[in-house]
Amino acid sequence: MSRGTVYNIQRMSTKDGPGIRTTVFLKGCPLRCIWCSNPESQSGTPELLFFRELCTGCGACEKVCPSGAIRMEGGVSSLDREKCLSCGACADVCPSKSREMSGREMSVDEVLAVARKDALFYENSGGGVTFGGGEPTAGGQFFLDLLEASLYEGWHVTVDTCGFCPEERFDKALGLADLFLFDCKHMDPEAHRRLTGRDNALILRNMGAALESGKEVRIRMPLMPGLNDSEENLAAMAEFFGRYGRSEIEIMPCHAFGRNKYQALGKPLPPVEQYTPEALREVRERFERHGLSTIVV
Amino acid sequence: MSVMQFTSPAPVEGQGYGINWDTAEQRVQELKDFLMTAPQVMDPERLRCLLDVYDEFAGESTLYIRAKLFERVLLTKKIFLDGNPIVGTLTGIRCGVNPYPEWNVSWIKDEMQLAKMTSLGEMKIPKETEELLEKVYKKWKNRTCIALNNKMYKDKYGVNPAQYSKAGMYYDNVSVASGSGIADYPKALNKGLRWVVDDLKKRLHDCPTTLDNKEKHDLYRAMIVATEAVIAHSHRYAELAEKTAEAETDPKNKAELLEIAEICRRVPEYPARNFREAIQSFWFIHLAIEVEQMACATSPGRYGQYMYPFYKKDIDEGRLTKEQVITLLKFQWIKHMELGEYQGGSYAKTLSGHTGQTITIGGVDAYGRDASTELEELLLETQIRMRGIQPTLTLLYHPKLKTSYMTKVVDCIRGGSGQPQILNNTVVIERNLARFAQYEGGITLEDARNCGNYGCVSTGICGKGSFITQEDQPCLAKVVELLLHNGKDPSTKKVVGVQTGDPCEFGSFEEMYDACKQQLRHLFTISRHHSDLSQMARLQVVPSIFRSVMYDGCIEKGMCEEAGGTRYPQVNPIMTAGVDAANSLLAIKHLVFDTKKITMAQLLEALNANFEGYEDIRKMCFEAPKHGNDYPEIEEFVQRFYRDVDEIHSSIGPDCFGHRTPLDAYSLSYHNYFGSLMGALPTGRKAGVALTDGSVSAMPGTDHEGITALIKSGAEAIDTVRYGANHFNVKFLPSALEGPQGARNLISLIKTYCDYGGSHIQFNCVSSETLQDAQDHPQDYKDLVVRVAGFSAYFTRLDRGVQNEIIKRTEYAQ
Repeated sequence: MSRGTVYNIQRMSTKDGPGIRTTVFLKGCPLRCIWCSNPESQSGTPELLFFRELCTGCGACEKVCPSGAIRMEGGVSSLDREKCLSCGACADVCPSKSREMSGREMSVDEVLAVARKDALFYENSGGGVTFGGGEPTAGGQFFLDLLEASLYEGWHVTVDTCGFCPEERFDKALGLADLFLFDCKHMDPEAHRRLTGRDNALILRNMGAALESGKEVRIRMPLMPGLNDSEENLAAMAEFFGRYGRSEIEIMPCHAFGRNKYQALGKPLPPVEQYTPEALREVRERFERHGLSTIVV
Repeated sequence: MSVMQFTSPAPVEGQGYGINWDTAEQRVQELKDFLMTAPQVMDPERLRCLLDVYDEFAGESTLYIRAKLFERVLLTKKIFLDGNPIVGTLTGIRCGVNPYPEWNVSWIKDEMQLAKMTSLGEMKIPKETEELLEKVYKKWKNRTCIALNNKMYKDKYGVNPAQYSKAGMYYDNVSVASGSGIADYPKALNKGLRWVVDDLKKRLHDCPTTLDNKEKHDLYRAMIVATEAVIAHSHRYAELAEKTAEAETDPKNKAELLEIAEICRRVPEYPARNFREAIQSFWFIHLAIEVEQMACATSPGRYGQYMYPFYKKDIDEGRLTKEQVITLLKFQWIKHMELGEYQGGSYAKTLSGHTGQTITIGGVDAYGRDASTELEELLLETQIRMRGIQPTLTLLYHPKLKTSYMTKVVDCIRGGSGQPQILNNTVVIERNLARFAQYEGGITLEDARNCGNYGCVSTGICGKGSFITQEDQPCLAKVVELLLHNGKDPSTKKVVGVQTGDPCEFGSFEEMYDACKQQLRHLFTISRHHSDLSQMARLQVVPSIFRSVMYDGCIEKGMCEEAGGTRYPQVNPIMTAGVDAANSLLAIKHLVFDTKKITMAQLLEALNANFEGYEDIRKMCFEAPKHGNDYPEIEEFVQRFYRDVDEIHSSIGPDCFGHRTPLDAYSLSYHNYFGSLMGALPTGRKAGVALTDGSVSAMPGTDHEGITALIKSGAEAIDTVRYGANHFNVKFLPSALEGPQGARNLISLIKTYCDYGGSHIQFNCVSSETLQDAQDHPQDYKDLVVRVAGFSAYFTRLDRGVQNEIIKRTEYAQ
């Protein structure tokens, strides 16, 4: 049975598809969106998160660190990322949970065992399991095995994807999952490359395949002020989705909720700003003018 | 929350009631304002009646004296009208409270200085009352229930039992007026009390005059006195309303007063003919029961069902609109809230002055069909609008409830009051069938289905049963403390438990667990012995007469309620802090026996120091495995523990009525009271801090796997059919329940909890104050999950600015 890296399994997840769900977040993503709110999900291997404000300065971590990456400074512990091996020894002993490992290798059975705990909740609420990330399709065979195993359990299956995935694998997923939450970040290949690090040709191909598949697809857009809310981009979206008879876009306005995670990973903060309520209203009207209706999720 | 409009045709000209509707809503508001601001006052009148009647009727049977006392109170208490069209108050003072010293007087001496709190706030004791309390104290100090109970125990077992309750092993159940149930209100509504009196007279007349029948004679004589007193009490209000009407110049007010007079002449003596009469009749009966013995959980039962025919008729015939019904219900809600009780400071700590008048909604009828009514939807709406604390609503949940009805239920829960609480109808019926199968004559399926919430979370049969908290209320966490101190209570320094040996000598966890079972058996044995005698004391000192009239079975058997007269008498030992005990044992197993992180000696040292200087051990204790996270091996232990508790309790033998008594696992505010008496625990809890609420809730701050894990763990912790109750509080952020999807998810959580066999669940919304506190003390709120934006997060791990935003948002959501 295949294995993969999972960075979180969220029970009682209610916004990633219908009903009460369990969302399995696979670690690793082919894109590097500059606004990413889950930076700990980008790398495909386990990493150490360090929440400095929860540290009580007990010093337990310093004693167990095998690489000398931790020192006590002014009553709290510090972390030298250069030396850190992400082995997780400090997270095991941290009593205040200020240190925690993000990501752990799991088998399909292990994931299913967790998801099965809430099976009756799915049944009673019309819920199921959602695979997100990172980018779940980047999990490869592990991802496909998870989909198949979930279907055998009788669950409704949702995939939350950026669409950057080899055609063959994506088409297999299309045959398995019930609902796709499909991200649309930018229509222009060049802008897409600038914002996410990748070209969007493969994404648009997969998006088209999904919209033609007869499966339920919700188009989701992380909306970033000045980055992907221009007239040109919205016009291009209206044209593209119009071909499939679609005009409803779920928008996710930029928020700052991932900021502390950048700090916990020792990474620089992303260069994005939040909308003011007026600016958001204005941008939603812009969508309307292009014949696109928006729902904030 | 927006107020929903209930449309119904306007009253037919000349058919409507004489209530001055123009001023009705304003009067509701004024009455509520008074209630919320004025302090409650302890009325002297009942004390005076008590002293007089026991003098005048010395030599009569206690049953008869109790009836005369009840009569004296009803016929002499000052009566007044306060703008409420439903009339009848507990005492002669607005928001007055009666003392019930026949149960216990020690608080008069010991606790007068403790916080005088009722459920509504401060309690005033006027000079006159204080002087009478002194007199009563002198007369009664050796005659009260609890004095007699303890004396009988000493005579029989040679030990003064006060040491056990002082150590916090259990709470003396007869130290307060207690006992509750659901009276047969439909009897008064549909047959009237005159019919009851005639029936009683015939029974007295026909009863053969043999010495065997002495008790029966006394009881019937007493019952006639009590029932006539309730009728006469209503007539006093009729006269007062007539007199007040004479002086009234406003024609609308005059009409209302004259109508009140007419209604009080009619009910509860004769059957009610419409909703207006029914609501007044109901109130006179409920009030009279509370006057006789103000005890927690005198519950109206299936009010929305037995009142429904009257409601339906008035709506159909154009006498009332639905909005007017809600206004009347608001007036009734005020009445319920005005009933206060006070029985000393420690009582306030254990029950928070809670009067537990519970209305049961939902459930099924005698044929198993959905029994919910449209009137019940108005009860829910009234609850939403009143935001009151009494009466409380309990839903008997089953899958056949209509969608529109459940929507109203969800609206009410989202309103933030935590109501209605939910009981699993299937479990309650199964429990009744199992529990009462051992009774003489068994139980019919119809009766089992006609179940209700007696109060708090315990259940029984509507109209045909009552419960006596006959067994003292044991505290399971205390068992662990005694286990760890070789039977000696660390605070009173007395050996009150079993000397199971030096805990450092336990060679294995199982060896320690066996010792724990010995402590449990000891606790249940002494509390049973003490409790059985308390029931004898109660029967001797305070047999209730009017309650016995109103609880079916007593008249037929010719036995008062305390003697087991009702059709389904039951004993409900309320047992607290099971989760603290299980979690403590789990922590010791994990730290001392499995991982050997610390020795038993180190643990004891840390506990005895209340963790001062042992922060590291406290952390380990707190982080040790805890109930509530759906980890199979942990939950299996919790279940095993509760199973053993039940088995040991059952093995003590039958209760005073001769039946196996299921344990009621719930907390009231006992977790707070017992917590204040206890030292530190291996769970990481410090001395004096409240224990875990409910009986299957997670210890605060220790559930971190989310709501579904918590619900599963809670539902399965206790065999809810064998036990008399479980008790489960779940906290929710209001925004998690928003919108139609939030409603559906909430219903799914309820349904899944019930599918897993849980019997009680109550949802509380987390307030912004809690979030603020979490921001200030993140170490105490590691488990607090909040919805942020399309995802959930641990609150304490969010950026401070984001936290602030969520705190603000929560305020909006409220």
